[in-house]
Amino acid sequence: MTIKSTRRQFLKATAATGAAISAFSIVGCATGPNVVVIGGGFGGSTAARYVKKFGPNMNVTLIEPKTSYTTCPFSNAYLGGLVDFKYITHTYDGLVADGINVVHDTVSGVDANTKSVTLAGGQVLNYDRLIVSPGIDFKWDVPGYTEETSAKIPHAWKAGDQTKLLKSQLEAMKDGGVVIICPPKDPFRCPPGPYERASMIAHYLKTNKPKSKVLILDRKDKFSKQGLFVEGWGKVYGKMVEWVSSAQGGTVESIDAANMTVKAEFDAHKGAVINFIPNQVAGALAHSAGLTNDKGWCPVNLSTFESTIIAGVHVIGDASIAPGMPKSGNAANSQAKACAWAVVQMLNGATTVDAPMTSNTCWSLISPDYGIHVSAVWQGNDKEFVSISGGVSGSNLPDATRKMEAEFAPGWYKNIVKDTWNV
Amino acid sequence: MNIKTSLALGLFAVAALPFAPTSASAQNMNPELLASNCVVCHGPNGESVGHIPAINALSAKEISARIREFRDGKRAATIMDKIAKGYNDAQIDLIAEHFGAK
Repeated sequence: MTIKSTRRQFLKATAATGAAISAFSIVGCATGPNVVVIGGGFGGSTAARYVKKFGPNMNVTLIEPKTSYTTCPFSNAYLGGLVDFKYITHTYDGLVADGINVVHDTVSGVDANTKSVTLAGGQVLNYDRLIVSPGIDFKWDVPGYTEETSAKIPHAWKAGDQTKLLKSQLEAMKDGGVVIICPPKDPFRCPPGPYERASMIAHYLKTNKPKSKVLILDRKDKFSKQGLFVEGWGKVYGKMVEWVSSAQGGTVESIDAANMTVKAEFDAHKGAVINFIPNQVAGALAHSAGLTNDKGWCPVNLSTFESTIIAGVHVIGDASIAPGMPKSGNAANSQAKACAWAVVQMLNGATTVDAPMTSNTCWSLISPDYGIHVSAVWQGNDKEFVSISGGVSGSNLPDATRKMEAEFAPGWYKNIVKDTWNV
Repeated sequence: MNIKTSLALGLFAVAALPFAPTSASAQNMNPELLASNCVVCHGPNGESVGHIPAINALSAKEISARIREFRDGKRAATIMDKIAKGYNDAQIDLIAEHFGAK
């Protein structure tokens, strides 16, 4: 990039958003293009940090309504009583220390023609490239389950108050009750998540309320790391955890919140606690910005994660369609790095960027001493991410190996949190 | 390919990017980008906290040899035996050089 074009970009930005620029005191980093990132989860925070890392001259602004972020990873360990709420909640101080302008506000509009983002507070931010990582939203397509119902029957699939609510219900329930978990249809955030949740809730019950039970009513016939979960449940919890597949009648037809009952295909089940996880689509911002297809997810170029619907806007993480990759915090982190790299190269004048290698590693805890993993490395092409290595933990491994993997899980968590939020 | 050659190629690819379309291998031969996928488990700069081994104290030569051993089934592992199979010799050397104790 030449100095001339840099100045031009800056002047253009200043003319349109003089107030915003001065408000964010972009002193000392006003020489490069403006990259705006919407969403401060695993995808957005990693993208902001790595744009700055790969292109130190870039002005990077991250927009996120919340002043701290509670992660879904390890929220199951919180439910199981292994870690406290603080452990899974992180501030944005580390991003600020990296020289990223962190703005806590809600986006009210994205205008791809003027390349600007308007915030609820009235500020307008111009961008040369926009990265959005809006996560997921819920479909509310099962009768009887609405946003209002979630105050009584938590989904706890966006971590925060919902997670606390579910934990308080587990703590309040009497011994001998049934905890019902209803995992969603594919595709959804964190494929092994509902089953790790069943494990961690079973751990809590086994320790505190041993006559209780976990019943999983599934809308699917198979799930991530299934063989390993089933083996682990049998070894650790005996008959305490029961999984009912869709074919066996697990598909939820309606929810009766007043009577705490789940009406499944063949039977109605009464729960002392019900954790209903709705079917999912890309986060609300992806829809309002016009980035979604007819299925509710965001199609992207797999080399750059640039939207194939709106030029100049990149979509990463759960909201994007990355065939072959799961929707997970680690996948979002990995996509964010490839996207950050592409954005910096494009802003520096590259006309093409080749498809990235991405990776994902995920440990699930069956108990505090029993961990299992799934891992993959992918090579992208123009249609999909092809797995070039990976797999899951072996079956029937020694206890010592399961324990070691259980210790790797928090190791991964601490390191990826540091990588993502610099905290 | 030795470490020096592959590193030089990697750097060349990076330097060339701002001025020309990327070459077919540029992205997957960029040491920083390759290494960025390792840090989620091994920590920024390989300085892992917790039970996953830190790798920053090892030399580039040691890291390089160890990843090859994992890949080739010569060293027992819970997970690195799988992950290592995703990388070729040149990429392993770039990663090793990136994290290796200087």
